Amino acid sequence: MELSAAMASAVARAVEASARDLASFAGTPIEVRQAAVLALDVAEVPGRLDSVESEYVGVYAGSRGGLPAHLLLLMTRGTAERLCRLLLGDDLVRTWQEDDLALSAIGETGNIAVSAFLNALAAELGTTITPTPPLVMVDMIGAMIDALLADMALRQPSALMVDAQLVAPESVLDASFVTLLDEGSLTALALSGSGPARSSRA
Amino acid sequence: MIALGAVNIGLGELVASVDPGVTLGALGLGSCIAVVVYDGRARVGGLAHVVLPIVPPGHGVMVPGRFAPLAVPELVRRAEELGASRKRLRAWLVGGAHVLPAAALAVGDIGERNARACRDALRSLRVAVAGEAVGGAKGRSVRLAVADGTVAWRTIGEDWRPL
Repeated sequence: MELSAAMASAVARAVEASARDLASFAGTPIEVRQAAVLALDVAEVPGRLDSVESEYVGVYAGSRGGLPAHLLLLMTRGTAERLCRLLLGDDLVRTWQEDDLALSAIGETGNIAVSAFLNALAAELGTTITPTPPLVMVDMIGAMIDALLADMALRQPSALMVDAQLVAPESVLDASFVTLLDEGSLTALALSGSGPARSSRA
Repeated sequence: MIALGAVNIGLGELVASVDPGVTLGALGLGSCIAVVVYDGRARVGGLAHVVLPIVPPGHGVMVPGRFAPLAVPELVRRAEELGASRKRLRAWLVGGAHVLPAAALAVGDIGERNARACRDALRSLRVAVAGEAVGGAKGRSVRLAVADGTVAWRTIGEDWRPL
């Protein structure tokens, strides 16, 4: 799949929407410092992130309605912990992995981030969606992704991936949004503007 | 990393080898299944990283290693080409976890379906299954040492354990 300029812009705007909603939830400014957008064969996704065995925190949400999609927000343990501290404060977070409150915060944060992202993409297509409840996972990157890859392999082999850096006061949060859309949605996004672009950096 | 001389078998790939210096591995398996085969006398081993339990209707089948009904016979065929005997081959299955709830996926419980399809394919080829580490909710990695047929697997943060 070729990444069109329109598709890259739409995805970058979706990341901006995600940052805005996170900032509103956290009550602190959060800006998108960069968002590199890539269009990939699904099989290339794990290799773009890290070693497939690397431990990542993943927040998964699917969407129903006008934009059938899978979205996986991926971040390292360190980023997840910084995110928790940003939202809950140092006093409330001991270690996120052992703390139900922190895990709940990651789920809620992920829900906000992925819902805003999917809603923004849906708006680009003039449609609406219903996100599924978020699911928080801590596992190997490859393991988290391959179930989605298997599911999408039945329909089409492409994914949109955004490596984003979100910046809050005293915190830098690196996260990857891996979006798997059905073929019709990808085509609609691709046709929503003109001119090809292999990658885009906001 | 899995070992010096390691060959990582990616999604939908399959490899057979008679090189004793090679370790075949599949890392970060979620719902996918690694099918490992080994002939202890010929010292021939192989590994397939299976993604789907069926060949989707209308699919071009450009990557047979992705689909259990095609990958397993192809893996056995390649091992036989290198001198393995089907009668001596033993198989191991690793992966097939429920990393995501089945309700989230169009294909349902893909991990369990993958495991069942691989067992069925091995049974139809009369290749015995010597061990399994399948199901559960956590991803796995697996490796096969071609030199001696040692099969080991692990989940995140754990040491390799023999199967």
